[in-house]
Amino acid sequence: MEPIPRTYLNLREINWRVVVGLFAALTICLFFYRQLDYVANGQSRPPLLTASEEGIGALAGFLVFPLIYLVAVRFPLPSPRWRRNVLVHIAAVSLISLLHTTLIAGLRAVLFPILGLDNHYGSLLWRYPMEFAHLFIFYWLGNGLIFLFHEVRFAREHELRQARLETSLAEAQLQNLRLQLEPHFLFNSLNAISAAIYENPRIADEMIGRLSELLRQLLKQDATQEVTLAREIELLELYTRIMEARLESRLSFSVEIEEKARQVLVPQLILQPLVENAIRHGMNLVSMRFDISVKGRLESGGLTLAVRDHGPGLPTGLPPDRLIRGIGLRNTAERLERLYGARQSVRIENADGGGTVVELRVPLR
Amino acid sequence: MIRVVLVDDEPPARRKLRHLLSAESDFTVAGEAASAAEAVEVLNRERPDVVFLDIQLPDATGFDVLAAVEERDTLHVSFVTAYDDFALKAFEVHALDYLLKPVEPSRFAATIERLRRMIESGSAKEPADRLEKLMAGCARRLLIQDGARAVFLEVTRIDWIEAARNYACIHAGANTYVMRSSLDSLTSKLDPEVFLRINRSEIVNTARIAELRSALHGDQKIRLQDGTELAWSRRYRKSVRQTGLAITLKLNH
Repeated sequence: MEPIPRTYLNLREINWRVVVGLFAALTICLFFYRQLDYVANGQSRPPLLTASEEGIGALAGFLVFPLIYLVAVRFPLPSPRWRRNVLVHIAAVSLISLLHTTLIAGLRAVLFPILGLDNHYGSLLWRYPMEFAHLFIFYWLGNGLIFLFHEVRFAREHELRQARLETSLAEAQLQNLRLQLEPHFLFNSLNAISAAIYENPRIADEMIGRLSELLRQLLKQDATQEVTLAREIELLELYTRIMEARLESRLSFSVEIEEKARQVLVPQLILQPLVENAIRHGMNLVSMRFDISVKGRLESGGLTLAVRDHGPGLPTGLPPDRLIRGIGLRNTAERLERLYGARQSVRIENADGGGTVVELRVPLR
Repeated sequence: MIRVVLVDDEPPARRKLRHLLSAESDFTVAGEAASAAEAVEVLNRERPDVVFLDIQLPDATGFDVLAAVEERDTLHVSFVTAYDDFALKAFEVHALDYLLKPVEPSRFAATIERLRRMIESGSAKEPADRLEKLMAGCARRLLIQDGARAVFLEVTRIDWIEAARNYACIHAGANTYVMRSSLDSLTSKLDPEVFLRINRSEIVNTARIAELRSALHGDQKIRLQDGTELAWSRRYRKSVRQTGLAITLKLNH
């Protein structure tokens, strides 16, 4: 399955209310930590002074938070390049701390007089290492929270995709089952077999064998979801040989697979619905024949599968997505999308020289 | 002899019916057809007493075939279908006979017996009436006699139609079919909710309209999705107002 791209939220996507809430909670804790220390030691100290000091520290911390966040998501530590990233973080925390301490000094100089407090920040030279030690703790705490938040998000996304994939697989299996057991196919095949019984019991017997094998494949609930293209063609031929027995000379079916493409893995039974579709819509109205070809070739890092008919072509005036939904390709398109994300494509178009071609591209493993 | 035509696109299915019929000495197979267009031709030519008619043909349905056949009143129809909920319901509603695939010999014998009785008593008219009612709701394609060949065209594929003397040119995508027919008779066969007569010599599929623009004298210009420009004359615009909201809604889609 396509791994989920680990895209981190950008600054605008962050839930800032939560960030502000966390900073507020931190400020309250730090206020009590310090104020109760004075109380325990029997010292008197105006709570407003402590609150202002901690508030300004937290406000400065909040102002540098975007920088901390950007470094955290640009240079994540759980990464193959973690050694380099640790160095980046050390450099970042040092620079951010310089900025943080400077901001505190500035904010105090402005805000303390307004609050009617005396500004005693002491020697700035010592303040820089002192605040660095303080920020250093919170820097890693913040990084931990940012990491944890994204991990939870990724896990949830992964689960969601997994669940969707499973549902769509179950649907695809059901759908395939229905397509095969599509009453039309089943009863017409049985009718052809019942005709053959009078004419050639051996042929009737072979058709029953093929029909049974096809049904068996479809009823297999633990069917592995990918098979080699060579196997997929075998499965497809169970179907097409029954159709050949029914339509006789009116159906001509050919398969052309590049030798090196035969071992490529493809979703099981991805071709059969397309061929069924080609038979349903692709009769040549002049010759009354079905001329259907399946081609497989490797190109530009992927496998291209093309199912082509020589019928009347696509109805005009419908946008491509409507066509895919309308002509029974929806399930195929969905299945591929869930399996391979953006690395696959399904196209349906008028073929050069008449007819319709459905082209699937799937990535190589 | 009771003359029978077999219509099924699958040769084994036709051979099976032939085989079952070979046991009935008073029945003879007058013809076979593997497609809807061929069926119409064979039925018009042979005028059989009975047709075993498959519903799902590759180019149209059995209903489309019946709608296109010239002489229906003396034709006894026995539908054959693999599985078709919709058709089966219709058969029940209209009390019409049908066979299910795989065709069971004893069920087939009962049908033969019933046909024999009906043909002897000469009572084809009453089932024919019921058939007409059934077809009114089921025919979706138009049989187009284009030169030597007959083609069933899905009505929804038609973009627009223009009259050229005694002929109608039917534009459907890249194809143009020419058939000997007046626009009036075509109009009567097309769904008035979808097809609109826009002037004396043109009919348009409203689903293909991309744009409407006002032109001189209360006319309107219609541009189709493929770029074709047509004129909707004032006289025909007036007559549309009465046919109701449906078209207006579709035009605005």
